[in-house]
Amino acid sequence: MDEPTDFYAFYNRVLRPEIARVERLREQTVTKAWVIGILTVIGTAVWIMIAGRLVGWDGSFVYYSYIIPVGIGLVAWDPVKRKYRDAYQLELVTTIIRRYNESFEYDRDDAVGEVALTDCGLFPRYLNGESRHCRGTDRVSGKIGVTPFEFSDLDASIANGKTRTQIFKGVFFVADFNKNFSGETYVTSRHAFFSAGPETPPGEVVTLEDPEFEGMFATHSSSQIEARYILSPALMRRILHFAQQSRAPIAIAFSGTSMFIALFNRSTKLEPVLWQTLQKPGLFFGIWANLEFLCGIVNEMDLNTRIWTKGAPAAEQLPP
Amino acid sequence: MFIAIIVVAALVAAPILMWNTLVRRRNAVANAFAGVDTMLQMRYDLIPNLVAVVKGYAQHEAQTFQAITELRAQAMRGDLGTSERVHLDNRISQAMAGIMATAENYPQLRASENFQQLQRALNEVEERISAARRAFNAAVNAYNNAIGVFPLSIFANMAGMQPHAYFEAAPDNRQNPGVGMAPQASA
Repeated sequence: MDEPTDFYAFYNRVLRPEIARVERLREQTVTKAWVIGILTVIGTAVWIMIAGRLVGWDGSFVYYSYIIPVGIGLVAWDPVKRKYRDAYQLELVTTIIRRYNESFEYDRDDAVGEVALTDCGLFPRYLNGESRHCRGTDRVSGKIGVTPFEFSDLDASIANGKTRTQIFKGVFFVADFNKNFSGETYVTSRHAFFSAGPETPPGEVVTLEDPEFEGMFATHSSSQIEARYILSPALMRRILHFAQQSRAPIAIAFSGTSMFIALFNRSTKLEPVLWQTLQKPGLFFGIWANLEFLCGIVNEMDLNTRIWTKGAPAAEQLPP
Repeated sequence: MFIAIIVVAALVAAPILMWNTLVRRRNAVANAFAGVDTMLQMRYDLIPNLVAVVKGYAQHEAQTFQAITELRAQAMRGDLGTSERVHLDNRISQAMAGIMATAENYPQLRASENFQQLQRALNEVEERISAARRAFNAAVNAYNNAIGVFPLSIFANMAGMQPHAYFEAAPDNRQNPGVGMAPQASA
């Protein structure tokens, strides 16, 4: 992965000309947004006046008639927005991701599957919810070293009658874990004063030796021994360091063959920015830094070290 | 009247709850030690393979092989107490570390696929033993705390419950016998 100085060289050499072109489109899109917005407001007012005069002011038709001009406005806005989103994501974001690692795949309309959300076991309320709703965007996937990974923005909620409860909103990260295990182990932030913080996962409470880790996280597992096999003292320190960097409640599940990390209230930052200029390097450096943070999880958690039987290198790949 | 009933109920329930807590903690220690035992068994199962592979390249190290084979036979007898088991396990770890050190002198052996597979298996077993040992020590800590604090200590003394020893690796043994395995290079 490149250093920030490399990013600025890349920014000046490759990204700046593309940004200038997309910036022109952004300005046009903002102008069109104002025009469509103003016309929609005026159109709605005129429409309501006409409707009120024609059918009288006491009918519910008048109160709901705004739907028609607003709908027309939205229909007019959609292709404009789509054109700008295409340019921003397909030209700028894709270029940045490819620069970060040529082998990475980026799909703005795809997300980490709902299956991962249900399989990880971190969200029992979601799993048992009657009407589940899960949508996500901006999936980045690839392989760092020998470790396949993927992450995306994800928004999951359940509905009970007319009440919709948000279960998770943030970045969901999945990577192949470097050790074999058979049960489930969960690590969740203890002090999550957020409405959509981690739930209490199933399993026995595991009390680990690291007091700082214990103060920050609750650990539950189907096996006391396996939890400690997974959460070595070194990995506990890495998770602590990662949590301090992420500055958000996190929940980690070790299940199947994978490590799942739910980063609450965070974003991949890959969605288009419309209401501010693109010609500030800080904006794209923010995307780059966020990408480094998320892809850095693999190295931060040392998932490429495979001295165990799982995915260990073949004899001929080892140094003599 | 109502208060008297509550007081009597509390006086009856408290000793039962305290006794049950002590029994649960004691059983947790036994259960955790069974976990350690299972993991140690995995290590014992690897010893014959390790000896066979290393022997093929280092035949004149017969004494080392004999020592570890005898230690394994003692461990497999299954009539040892916890502290004897811990002591024996530390000696086995030392012997295995000795074999791995011997292997360092034989580049062909280190390069052989069988040996490398064994090293990986050994690394995994050592990690699992370490995890089981940590789980055991956590159970012992909870048990020792329970029998040491008032008023549980009264029941513990009456039942003759003694503090349990922790499972500690001997100072010479802190290094994993499987070390020397090169981790796969990261990107």
